[in-house]
Amino acid sequence: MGSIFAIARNSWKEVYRKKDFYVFFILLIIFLLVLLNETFFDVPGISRFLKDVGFSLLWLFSLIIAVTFSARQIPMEISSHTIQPLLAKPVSRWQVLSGKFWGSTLAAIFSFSVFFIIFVLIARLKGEGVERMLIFQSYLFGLLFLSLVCAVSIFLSTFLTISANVTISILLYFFMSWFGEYLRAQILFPQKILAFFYNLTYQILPHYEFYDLRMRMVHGWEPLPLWVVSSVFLYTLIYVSFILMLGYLKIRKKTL
Amino acid sequence: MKKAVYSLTLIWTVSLINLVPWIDNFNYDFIKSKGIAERDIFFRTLGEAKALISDLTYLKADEYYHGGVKHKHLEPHTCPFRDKEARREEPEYKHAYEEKHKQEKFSGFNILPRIGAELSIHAVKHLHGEEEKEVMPWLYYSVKLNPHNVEAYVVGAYWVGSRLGKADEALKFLREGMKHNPDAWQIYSEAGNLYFHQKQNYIQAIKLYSKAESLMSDKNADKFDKSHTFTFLGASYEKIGKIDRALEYYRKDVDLFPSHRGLIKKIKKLEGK
Amino acid sequence: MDKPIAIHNLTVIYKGRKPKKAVDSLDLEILKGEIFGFLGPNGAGKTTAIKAILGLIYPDSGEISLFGRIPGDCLSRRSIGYMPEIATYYWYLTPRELLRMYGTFFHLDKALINKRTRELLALVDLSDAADILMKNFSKGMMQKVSLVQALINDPGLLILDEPTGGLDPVSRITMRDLIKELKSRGKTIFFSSHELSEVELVSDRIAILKNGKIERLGNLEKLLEERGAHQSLEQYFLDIIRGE
Repeated sequence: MGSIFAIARNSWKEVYRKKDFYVFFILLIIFLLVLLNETFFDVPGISRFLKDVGFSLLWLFSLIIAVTFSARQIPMEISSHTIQPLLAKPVSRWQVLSGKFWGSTLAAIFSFSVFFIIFVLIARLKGEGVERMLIFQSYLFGLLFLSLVCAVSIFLSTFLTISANVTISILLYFFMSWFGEYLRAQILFPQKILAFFYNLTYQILPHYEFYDLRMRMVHGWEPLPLWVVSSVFLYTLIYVSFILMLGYLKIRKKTL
Repeated sequence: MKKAVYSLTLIWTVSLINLVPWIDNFNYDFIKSKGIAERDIFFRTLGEAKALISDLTYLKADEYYHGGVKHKHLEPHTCPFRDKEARREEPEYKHAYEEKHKQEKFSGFNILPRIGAELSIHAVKHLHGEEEKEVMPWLYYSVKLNPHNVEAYVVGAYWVGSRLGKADEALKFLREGMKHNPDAWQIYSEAGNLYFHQKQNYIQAIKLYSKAESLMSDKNADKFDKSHTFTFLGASYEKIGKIDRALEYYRKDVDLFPSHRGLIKKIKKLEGK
Repeated sequence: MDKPIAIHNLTVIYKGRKPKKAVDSLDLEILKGEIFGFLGPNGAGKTTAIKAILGLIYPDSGEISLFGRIPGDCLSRRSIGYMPEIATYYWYLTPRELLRMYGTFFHLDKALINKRTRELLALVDLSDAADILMKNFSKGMMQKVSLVQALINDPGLLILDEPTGGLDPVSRITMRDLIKELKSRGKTIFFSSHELSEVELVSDRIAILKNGKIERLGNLEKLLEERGAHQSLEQYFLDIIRGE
């Protein structure tokens, strides 16, 4: 466990010593301030627009950081040859993979947390605000979402180049965000031959659409019941463990 | 050395600030001379894609009106389950919804769709009162992105003027729409509505409804649209005491809908005066 | 007592359209406390053999034992230090942070890691750069970091892959002295090099590898004597490689 933590700690240092985070941080503040000061038809107190766009931006920025960061962890270790002295220490390949996963997840969570705090503070300045339980649930789901994104990117990085991995990870996110509900509808109302295909796709692909509680938060719907939150937590845990295990099987015997 | 770098940076920044408008104007003149498009930042950054995004923002306004539920999910043929969810409060759907719910609950294999269903918003609610203003940004951006989106002008003006009671703002918005879409009768008609209902300025209402009428044809308006214009033209004339003109339009309306009993009664009443 | 390295019949084949035997039936034993020079031209299979020893490559056949354990066993790497041929260490870390991370892998306590970090960085004259991000380091400085990271656990066996590559003459002498100093402390050193003069100055035994096979193995002085007096290692090496 100590070795995993040591790898993770050093990986996540990269995020605050790199410019990416600061660029997104400044961009988010600029966007939020612009949105805060935007008025429409001289009507005061319009706030859902700010919450909607602000949350989408922080979600997107965190996703980009998570994907770009986790996608390069293992390929960079290999290309810079640091994987060799690393594995020449009493560290297993599983520990390296887990350490890289935790490092990327911590880095993404750190960025997401900073963005989220700024978002909540600015969103509270205007209009209706957001219910506390929903803020908590959105934050928790954000953390789970980023861990899933990082696990998938780490897995893909065991056999894809960095750019291919980033492209596929981001496409996968948009695919599930846009078509996740469509796939679900197809399963509930199966159409013979396609039913099996839809079901298989739905069970295999990571359900990124589960985690975005933006609409619930923006339009003041009730928070999710505990069993749903627990189910999503359990789903993330199982999916992350499974996909990391697949990644390990891929690099277990790989020539490094 | 540092001082030199700072000085150079300062000179560079100041020069850039001064040069940007010049470069910008040059680009604008060039684009204008080619007749490519009007000057707006959305065009320059998004190009033709802005029309598509305009439609999406318009749909977003609709989504907001339904509490975040996408319009397509309200259509039975695209997602029947969502439709049942959306209308589960209605008695005819309630039974089917509960049956489906039970079925999912006990289907172990379908645990993921079950979670997905719980995570999506279950019901539909409409904005009411103060909340109605929340659709405004999307309608505003819809016309900013595509000034030829007539429907967005009309719906936007309706919300601002009729629902939020800001008639002047709504008229300003419509005037902008008229500038970009001089042949769109819908915009004139909506402006007429505002003058009629909000400002009770029937002379202006008549001018605008008449303009709308002149732009209407069988191709761009159906008989319901025409009927609406005739009704309000008639009503406006009636309000200013020009009963003959009022009757003229009421009769035109009845020609379109001969079974319109209320209006027939009204015509008889006015004829009797 | 288990030997630091014992290799029996090691074969590594690089798969592809034309499979190539990178290491072919290699038998080798490294004795405790010796400096062993592993020589060969480019592509002879030196680095592949080293990677197999460290468990970075899975051999197609043969056995490797490190202090009596297989390379895949994490415990076998407890008393090993490895310096790779090329490595560009994490640009976003300082040497101190790097050594702290590597020290943690050996379950060393914090005070000991700090003490060793100070000593090792002083040894390679990098004390002043201890807290500078490694993105600012030259190739030579990176090479020094590469060496000290291999020593953080005070290993019994040190595996160095081209340790003097890219170093200036002064640093090369420092490295040579360091290797001798480590030997005097009872360490076993296994290193590959192109710098034959360096090998000649420090090695007790050598092996010359050609096309994945060992061509010559033995005590350096005795091997040189085979070919008559006054022959340099360089001449000897060239004769072997050219097949004379």
